[in-house]
Amino acid sequence: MPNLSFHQLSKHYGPVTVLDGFTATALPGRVTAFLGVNGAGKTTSMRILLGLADPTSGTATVDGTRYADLPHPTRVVGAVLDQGLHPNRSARNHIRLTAMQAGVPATTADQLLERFGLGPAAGRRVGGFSLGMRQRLALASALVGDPSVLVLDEPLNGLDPDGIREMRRFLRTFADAGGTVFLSSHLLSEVAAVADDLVVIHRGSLAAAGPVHDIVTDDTDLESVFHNLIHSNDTEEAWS
Amino acid sequence: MKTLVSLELYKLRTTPAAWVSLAVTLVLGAASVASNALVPSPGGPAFGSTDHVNHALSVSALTSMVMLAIGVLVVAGEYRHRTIMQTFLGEPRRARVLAAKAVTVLGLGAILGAVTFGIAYAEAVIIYGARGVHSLPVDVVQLWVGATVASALYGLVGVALGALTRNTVAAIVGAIAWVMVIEVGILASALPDVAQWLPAGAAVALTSVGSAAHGMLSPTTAALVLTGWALLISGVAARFSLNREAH
Repeated sequence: MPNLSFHQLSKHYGPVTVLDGFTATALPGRVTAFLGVNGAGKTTSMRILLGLADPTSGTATVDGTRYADLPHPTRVVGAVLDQGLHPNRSARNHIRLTAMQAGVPATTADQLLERFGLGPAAGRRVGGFSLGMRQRLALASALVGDPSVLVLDEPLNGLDPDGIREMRRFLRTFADAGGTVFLSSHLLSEVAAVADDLVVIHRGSLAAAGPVHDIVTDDTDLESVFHNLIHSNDTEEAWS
Repeated sequence: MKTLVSLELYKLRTTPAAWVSLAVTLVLGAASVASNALVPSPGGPAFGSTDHVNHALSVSALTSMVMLAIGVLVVAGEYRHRTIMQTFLGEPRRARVLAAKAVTVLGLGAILGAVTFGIAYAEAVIIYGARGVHSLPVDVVQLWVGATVASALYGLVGVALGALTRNTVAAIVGAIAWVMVIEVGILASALPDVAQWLPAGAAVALTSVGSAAHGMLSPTTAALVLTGWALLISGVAARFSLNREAH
């Protein structure tokens, strides 16, 4: 099962530095939560990992290979970013399209729609879907190639409590089967309930990384730890 | 490449835009043939003359502009709906994606141009035949090939403009403004020697016979010129769009 690796990753847009030597890993069999405030560099890191943006320097790889060099990328990595769904395309046609991309049969796509509770809505236009339904469709589409890695940007957004519980259960099962899960989220309490490892990014650099139980001790919680990490980094920077 | 082209065709047939465009083209094409053939224009060419039939069969302007719009939608539409990211996740080699879109639209343009002209020709045969003109005095093969080639190449130009602008409205409005205002409206009368070498001038030369083709490039030269423009714009699009980040 593949791991994910960011090594000395930097990204500049003109004078603006978005990533500054970011280094981190996500391991198989683990759910790794990727945390950071807005603009910290989470989405940019994920986009570089998935070949949607080029780094200024450094590397982001899947088991040592750039995403763009994977022979069948969607069979290795399932991704849910902010990619769109055509509003006038039905859910069935959308997921069958991703199945064609991955080179898997349409029946696999149809089964995933059923598994994610979208069977009754399969023929409906995606434009009429709720945010939660769109999230489930995006996740089902990411799984169509039976990948061993999941890269998810804010997958819990828009889900109701039942949906969040189902998502947590799904991610746990996926990782327990040996899969690599790398997800970003702002919902810290939900992240704490499912993540094995944390990667915290702040201002484009690694702020903290390691198993959740090493970072979040019994006498504190993830929210406090996260706040302190960000706050301490800002303070150090202000005094430097 | 075969899979990528299949994907592009699947995308087109699972959204309404292509079907609406097809229906509009066929309806407007048929209506324009009937209108141009049957509605007399004062001072216009005599019924059944080469110029009259040429005017009646002038559906390639319609198919060319429709294919230009479809070409734009195939690329810029993906940016508009943000589906381009899913496309690039499935095939990270963007040049292959752009090439597949170009091949798909070229093929569709050729089919749409050929079929629409075929229908127009059949309609014209019936209309003129009913009024005693049993042999149309035009080079049908030239017009048919011209309509096919022009539609295909305008589709390719649309793909290139969509890749360059990533904006459906800007690309379509910009292209129509260039053709209708700059080329046809201004340059065709002000600088005809220059206009004949431009995309619309070459398309007119490629798809016209009779007096409409006087002073224009020969059909073969026009086809080469239009191909050159399509390849040039595609090259510029590839040069400046492939390395831009997808959002």
